[in-house]
Amino acid sequence: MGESLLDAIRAESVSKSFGTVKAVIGLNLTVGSGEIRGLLGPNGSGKSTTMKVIMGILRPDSGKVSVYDVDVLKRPVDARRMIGHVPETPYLYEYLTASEYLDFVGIAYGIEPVDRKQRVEELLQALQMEEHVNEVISGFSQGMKQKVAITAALLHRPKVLILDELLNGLDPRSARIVKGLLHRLAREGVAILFSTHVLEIAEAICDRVTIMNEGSILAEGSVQELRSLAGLPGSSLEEIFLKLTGSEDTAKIVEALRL
Amino acid sequence: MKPSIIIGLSSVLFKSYLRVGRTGNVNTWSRPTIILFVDLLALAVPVALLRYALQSIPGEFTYLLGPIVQQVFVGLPILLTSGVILAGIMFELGQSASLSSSEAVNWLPISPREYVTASAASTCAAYSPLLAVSFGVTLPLAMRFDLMYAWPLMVVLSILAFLQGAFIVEILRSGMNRVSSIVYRKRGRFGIISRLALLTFIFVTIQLAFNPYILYYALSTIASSVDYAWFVPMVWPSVAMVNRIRLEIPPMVLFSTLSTIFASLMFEVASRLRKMYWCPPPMNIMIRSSADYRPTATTLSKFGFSPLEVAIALKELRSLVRRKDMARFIAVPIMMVIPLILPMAFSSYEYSGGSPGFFMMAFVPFVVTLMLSTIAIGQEGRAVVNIYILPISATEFIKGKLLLTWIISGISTLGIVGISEIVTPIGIEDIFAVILACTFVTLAGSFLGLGVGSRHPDFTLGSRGRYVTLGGFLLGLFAGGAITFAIFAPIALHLSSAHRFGLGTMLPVTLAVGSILTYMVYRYCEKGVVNFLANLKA
Repeated sequence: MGESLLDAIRAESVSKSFGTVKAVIGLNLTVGSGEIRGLLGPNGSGKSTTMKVIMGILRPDSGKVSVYDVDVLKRPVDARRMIGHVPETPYLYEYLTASEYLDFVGIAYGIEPVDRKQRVEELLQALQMEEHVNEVISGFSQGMKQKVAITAALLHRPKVLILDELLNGLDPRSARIVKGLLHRLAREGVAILFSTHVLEIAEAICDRVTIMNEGSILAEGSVQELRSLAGLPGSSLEEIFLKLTGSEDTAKIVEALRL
Repeated sequence: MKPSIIIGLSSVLFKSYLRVGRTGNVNTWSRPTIILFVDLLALAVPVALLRYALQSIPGEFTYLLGPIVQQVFVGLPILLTSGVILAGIMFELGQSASLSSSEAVNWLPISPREYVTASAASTCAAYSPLLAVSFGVTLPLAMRFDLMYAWPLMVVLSILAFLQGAFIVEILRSGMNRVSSIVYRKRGRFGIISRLALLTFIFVTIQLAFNPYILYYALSTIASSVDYAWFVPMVWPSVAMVNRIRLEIPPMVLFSTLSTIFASLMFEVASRLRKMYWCPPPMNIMIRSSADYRPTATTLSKFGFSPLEVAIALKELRSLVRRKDMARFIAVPIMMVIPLILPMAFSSYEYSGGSPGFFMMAFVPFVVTLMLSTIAIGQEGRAVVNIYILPISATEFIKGKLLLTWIISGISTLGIVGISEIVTPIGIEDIFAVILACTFVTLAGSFLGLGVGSRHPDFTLGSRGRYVTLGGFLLGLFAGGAITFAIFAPIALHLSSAHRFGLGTMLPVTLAVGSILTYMVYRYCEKGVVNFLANLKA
C-alpha cells in the first residue's frame, strides 16, 4: 500500500433515509490515496447507499462528502471525472455493442480517440473480450457484462475507484487479473472502495476493512486490528464478521431446517 | 395433459400480463378475477345502451340497416381472429428476448401441449373484453333485426375464431424467436433496419385495422366476398355464419366442422413448434463482422454541440432503432396522423386555404416533440445509472437528450408543412410564419417534455412501459397543448380572419409569445434535470 498522504474520499456525518427506513446513519469514512478499503456488511446494511452518496448520485439528508477535496454535493460532475464506478448489477445499454458503449463512456470522460482505442483494446484483451467488441450487449452473459463495466470504469484512468461486488460473475482467470490490477492501481495511488460479500476476497485484497450494519459503522481497521477488536486471534475475517454483526449462530439455523 | 397444470400456468401467465413490469403490492386491479368484472361490464353496458337506442329507430330504417347488421355478424369471427393475432403480437413485441429464454417454464415439467393450451387460454382471457363487447353489441342487434336464430352460432364461432387467433399467436411467437435470431446473426445492421420497418408496419397496420373507415370497408368486403374466399381456412367461421343466415344448414355444418378442425390443427402446429423451439437461445448480435474497435469521431461540434452531447444523441438514436419496444414511438405519430388524413383523403371537399392543413402543421411538431422528449429519461430503464456515473452537466444532458428530438421533429414538421402546402395551400408568406411557430413549438415542447420526464419518469421496461407516469403524461399533454395553442393563436387569427389581422402584427406577437414560453419551460426543464441528476430514481 502506498503512503496515505491525502484523503481521497472523505464522508462526514452522512445520513440518508428512504421514507421511514434509515439506510445510513451518521457515517464517517475516509479512504486514503493508494488504499484498498473493503466495505462489508449484511444485505441492507447501507453499503450500496454509502457508495451512491459518495458518487454523488444520491443526495444525503445531512453530512458532507468530498473526493480529493472536491465537494460532491456542490460539484458532482467534477468529482465524477475522478471516479470510476462498477455498480452491483451492471445495467448497461443492452442495445449497444460493447465498442459503442465504451466509446460513449470514453467520450463522456473526454478521452481522445487514439487514447480511447488503445485503452479499450488493452483492457478488453486483458479480460478476453476482444472478440466480442462489436456484439450487442443484450446477448452477453453476466460475467461478460461485468467485464464491459470494469473496462468502462478503468477507461479514464480514475483516481478513485468505487466497486460494488466487482468480481460478480467473473471467471477465475479474469478475477485474478482484476485482483492483480487493483493492487497495481493502488500502488500507483488510486484509492479503492470495494464492497463484497465474499470475505476471503476482502481479506486477500483489502488493506483496511469497514464493517457496516443497519446503516452504521460497526468496526474499522486492518484484518489484524479487527481480530483484536473482536477478541478472536487467529480467526478468519468471516468469523470476525459474523461475530461483529451478531449472526454467528448459523449452525443452529441449518440444523433447524427440516430438509 | 394435466388440467391442474394448465389452469395453474394460464393463471400465472395471465398474472404476468396484468402485472408486467409493475412493482409493489398486489391490488384488486392486478388480480385475475378482475377480468370477469371487466367482461361483465363490457357485455352489460352495450346491451343496456343499444337495447334502448335501437327501439327508437323507425321501422323503415330497419329495412336499410338490416344488411349492415348481417355484415357485422358475418365479419365478426374473422375480425376477432385478426384482433387477437394483432394484440398478441403487440404484447410479444414488448417482451425481452432474455426474459423468454430464462422463463421458469423452460425447465419445469410442463409439456408443449400444456404450455400452448395455457398460453392460449391466458391470451383469450387477456383480450376477452373484446369478445364480451362483441356479444354485448350483437345481442340487441340480433333482437332488433330478427337474427336471434343466428346469434348463438355466432357466439360459438366467435369463441372458436378467438381460440384460432390465440393458437396462431403461439405459432408466430415460436416463429418470431427463430426468425429474429437468424436475421440478427446473418444481417447485422440490415437486420435491425428491416425489423424496425417491420415493427412500424405492424403498429400502423394495427391502428388502421381499428380505424372506423377501414373497419367499415373491411366488414362490407368480407361479407360480400366471403363466398369467393371459402378456401381460406381463417374465413371458414364467417362462411358458416353466412350459411346460417341464409338458413342453408348442410354447408353451415360443414364449415363449422372445418373451422373446429382448423383450430385443432393450429393447436397441433403450435405445440410442435413450441417443442422444436422450446427455449430460445439468447442472441449474440454482430453489428460489424470484424472484431476491431474504431472510435467514433464527432463532427457536429461545429453546430454548437459537444462530443458528449452528440454521443448521447447517437445513443438515443440507437435506442430508437434497435429496441423493439421503442418502435411504437416511431409508429405512434404515423398512427395519429393517418386517422386525421383519411377523412381528408376520402372527402371531396375543397380544402384550399382551409383549417385541416393548418391544424396538422401545429399538431405534428406538438405530438412528435412531446412524445420523444417525455420518454427520453424513462426509456433508459435501470440503465439510467450509467448517466449518473458519468461526468455530465445538466446543460449537456438537456442538449444531448433533445438533439435527436429536434432533428426528428424538424424533419417531420418540414414534411407535413410541405404536404399541407400541396394539399391545402395557404401561401408562401404564411408558410414561413407557420414554420416560425413550429420552431417555437418544437423547442418549448421539447423542454416541457424533458422537464416532465425528469420529474415523472417511469423506468418500467417492457410491453406496457410508458416511460413516463400517467400523471406526467397528462401534464405534458395539457401543458403542451396549451403552449401550442398560445404560440399558434396569432397566426390562426391571421388566417381565419382572411388576413384582416396582418402578419406584420401577428408575427411579432408569435415571436414574443414563443420566446417567453420557451424561456419559461427551459427554466422548468433545467430545474427538473438538475434535481434528477442529483438523486438516483431508478
